[in-house]
Amino acid sequence: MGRDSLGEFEKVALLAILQLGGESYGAPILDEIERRVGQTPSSGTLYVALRRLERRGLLSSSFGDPTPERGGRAKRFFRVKPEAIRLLRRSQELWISMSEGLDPVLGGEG
Amino acid sequence: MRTPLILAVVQRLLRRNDREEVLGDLEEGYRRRRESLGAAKARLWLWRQTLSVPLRLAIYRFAEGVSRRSGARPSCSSQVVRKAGIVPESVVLDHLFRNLRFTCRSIRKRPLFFLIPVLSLSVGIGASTVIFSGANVLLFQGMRGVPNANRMVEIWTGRNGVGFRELNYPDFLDLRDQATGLKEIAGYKYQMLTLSRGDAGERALGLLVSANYFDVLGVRALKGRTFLPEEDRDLGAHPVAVLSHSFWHNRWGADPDVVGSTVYLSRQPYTVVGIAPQDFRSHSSIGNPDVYVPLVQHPSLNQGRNYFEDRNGVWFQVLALLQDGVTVADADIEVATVFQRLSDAYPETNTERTASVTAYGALPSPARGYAGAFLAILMGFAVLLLLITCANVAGMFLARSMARQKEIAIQLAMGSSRGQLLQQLLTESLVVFFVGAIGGVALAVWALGYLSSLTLPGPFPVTLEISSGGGALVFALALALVTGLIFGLLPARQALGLSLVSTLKNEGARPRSSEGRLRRTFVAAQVAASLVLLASAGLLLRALQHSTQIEKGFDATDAYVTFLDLTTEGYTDESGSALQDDILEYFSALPWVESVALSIDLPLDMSTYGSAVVPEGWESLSDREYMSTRYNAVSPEYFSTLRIALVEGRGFEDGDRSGAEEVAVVSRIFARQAWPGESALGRRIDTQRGNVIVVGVVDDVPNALLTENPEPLLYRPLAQAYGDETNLVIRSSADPALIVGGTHGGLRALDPRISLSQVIELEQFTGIGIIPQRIAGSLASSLSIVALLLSTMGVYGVMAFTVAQRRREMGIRMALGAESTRVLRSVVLGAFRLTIAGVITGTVLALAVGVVLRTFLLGVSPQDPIALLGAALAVGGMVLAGALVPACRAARVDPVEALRYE
Repeated sequence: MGRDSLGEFEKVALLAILQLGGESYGAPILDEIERRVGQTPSSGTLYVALRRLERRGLLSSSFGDPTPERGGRAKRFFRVKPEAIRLLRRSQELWISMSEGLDPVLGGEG
Repeated sequence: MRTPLILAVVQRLLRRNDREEVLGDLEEGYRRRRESLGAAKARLWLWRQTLSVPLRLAIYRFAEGVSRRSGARPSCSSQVVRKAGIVPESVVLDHLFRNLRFTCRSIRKRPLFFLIPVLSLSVGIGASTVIFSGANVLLFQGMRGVPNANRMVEIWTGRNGVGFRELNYPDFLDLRDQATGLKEIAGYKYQMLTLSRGDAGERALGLLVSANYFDVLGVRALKGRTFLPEEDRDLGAHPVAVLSHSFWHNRWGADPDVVGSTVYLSRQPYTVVGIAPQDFRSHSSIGNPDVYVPLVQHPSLNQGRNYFEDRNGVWFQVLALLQDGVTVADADIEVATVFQRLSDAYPETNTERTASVTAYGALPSPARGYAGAFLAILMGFAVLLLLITCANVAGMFLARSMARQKEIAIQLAMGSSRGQLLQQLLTESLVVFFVGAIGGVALAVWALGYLSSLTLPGPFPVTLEISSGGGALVFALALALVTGLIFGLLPARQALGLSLVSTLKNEGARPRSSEGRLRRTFVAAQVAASLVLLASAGLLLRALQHSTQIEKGFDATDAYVTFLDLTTEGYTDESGSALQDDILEYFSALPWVESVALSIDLPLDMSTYGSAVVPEGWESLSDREYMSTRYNAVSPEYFSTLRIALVEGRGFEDGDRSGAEEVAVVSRIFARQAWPGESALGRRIDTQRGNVIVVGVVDDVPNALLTENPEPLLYRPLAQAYGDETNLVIRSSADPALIVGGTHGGLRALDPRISLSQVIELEQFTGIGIIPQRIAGSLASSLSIVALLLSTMGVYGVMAFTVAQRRREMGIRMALGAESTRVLRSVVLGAFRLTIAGVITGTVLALAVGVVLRTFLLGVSPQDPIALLGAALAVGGMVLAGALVPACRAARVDPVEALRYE
């Protein structure tokens, strides 16, 4: 996989952050993926993906205030950068153009 | 709500900059799930989540580091999405995990095929590691706790350059003054002492050392001090002692006030001035002294016998520290030159006396040759087993990769790279080898601990200090890596070199000739190596059996021995002699004692006393001035207690004491050499202790080693030729516990303060000499059993595979009327054809190994037919056993079934 492509789970993680809007830190991201995919991903995998995306310049992060329900620990908020949005868009275009007319095979939108 | 414990554990496994985020998220997620799902499910979630995080992050960072170093960027493989959320981090990790998972699956499917090679690898690697550690410590390294080991040398004297003997004090002083390449030179002498704090003493090993001994070794006292330079001067004027850490700790409970207190060494008061450090066990691995005393105390601990002025004999050993830049070879030349000068200056004492310098080692130079040969043989056994195991594992993987040919071909056709497949195949074999290595290290650590705790029986406590260390671990892992790579690559290469088209066209079920050849080679190698192991085991066992049958000339059964050193107990020659009489009288009166004797030497005890004598008429027989003979001083009942047969004349009697006529008994060989063809009775011998008359001739007994030819032996009555260090031998068929208790009790009854040593069965004591054979024999036989088992599996594997391949052919043959016995025979014959090359190679190798073993065979021929035939029969049986099940399966092939197949 080259520089310009995203892994499947990387896309999932980016989309989850976008879905969450402002409240995008580890715990809700994990919950969001679990809610939408129907399976619990492993935290370890998520952290690794987030770190890799950040290193590639596709995410930025900042620490928030500590909260008591986290045992007094700070949250690390993630923001999606424009470069990531570009890649996601390209991926979507690729999917749409390649899957055009294949609804009978792929089972449509359902 | 409390923070779950697991988070506290994981906290330690995370990097500081990950903690805040990860722990917070986990705790938050846990609390939410606790509210919605309940405590149990939430806890399960937390455990599953928590355990993966530190591992994943660590692996990510590792892979990132690797790819950054190699210039590549970690990329994300989206090829394989097993389920949402589990996407491999990088190609390397993806494959590693996949391969490991795959390996685990195949282990679960066939646990035995994993367990047997792992166990045998553990044995092979463990045994190699133990022997490697032993060799490393005994032959190549100095002792632990000796900082100067690398700069130290041993100095030995010899006669015309031959032999390893001690030095005397005047030569030692001259050497110290003249040899400029030696920075420091220290002397030491072992001596058994009694050690007490005023009550009943115990026997302890003492090391008498020159004052600079600790400085030469570079060792400082743990408490107090070592010896001062002035403690090398004025004989007997320095009753000071340094205790070993283990003695201080184990016997005196690490009493903090011991420095400055008084101890009694051989009943003389000494002041404890220091405690040696904990990891220091003297310069040598064969004795762990309990107490160190200045060498100048030697006369006062030995009844005033003063050897310090004497240039005639030699009596203590020497270590030296080299000057910077001086090599062992330089020092050797210089020391030889000094001794040449001494020989010119003192021709009457130093003629023919030479000296040599050898590198310092934990084992003194004279012992290294024999120990090295012994360890090399043991190492050979371990390596053989390792080779068998490796061949077995490789054969197994080869078989499996052949069975998976089609799967591999499909993967290749789908675009998997050969490199990836190679990784997968290699992972499997490396896992087996590494688990085996871990087992081997565990085994080695246990075995080394056990070996180090052993004390060999004897008057002198001989212990082996062999530690497993980092070196052993590295050795085992390196061994596993190298063997795993070689024996994993061979089958993998074969599997990947296959032709895609023919395999996919379902011709894959037929083994290509090169594959079959490799597998057959593995089996033949296993057979050959097993044969060598079996033959060696057979030879060594024959040697042991032979040792019990050798005409020893004495009977060690039902006899017990303990040791008395009367000088160290403070006895003079007169009082000691009186005590010896009392001991004999006391014990011979006890009802459970059949007979009792004292002697200064025993047969087969690895020590000898030599003497130079002139028998009557010697001048006309030989141009040598003296006849050299072994020497023993014994009490009257000695010959009957050891059941040494009287050939002529009489043994000693109670009347043979000082004042009466000085008498001697000689051995058969002595009589034959001194007076060939004539009776020895009434002949006279000039000895170092005066002229004596021969009153009897007894049978020969081996003196030090079972294999030696009997040497002349001269016996004197102990009552006429007093010796202070004696063996007390008691013949009794009573209960051993009673004998031990009765012996110790009797000695204490005669002298309440006497120190006691072990009471040992004489058989065990005289068996010290065959300990190498015992160890090698039992190691070789246990390894051969493993080897046989593995080779049987190897043969079985190949034959089962062949039978499965030829199922159709056999069906056709049977359909055409072949009898099932013919099919059976053809399979069994096939197995023998398979192994014949191995048998031939193995036999040739076994003959060669026998020659190497010769030193240890106690006179058994290296071509001993029973051992070799036995090994060949065992291998034949093994081949038959391995072939039988597949052969029966072949004979039961139903032609209709076989032909309908496919």
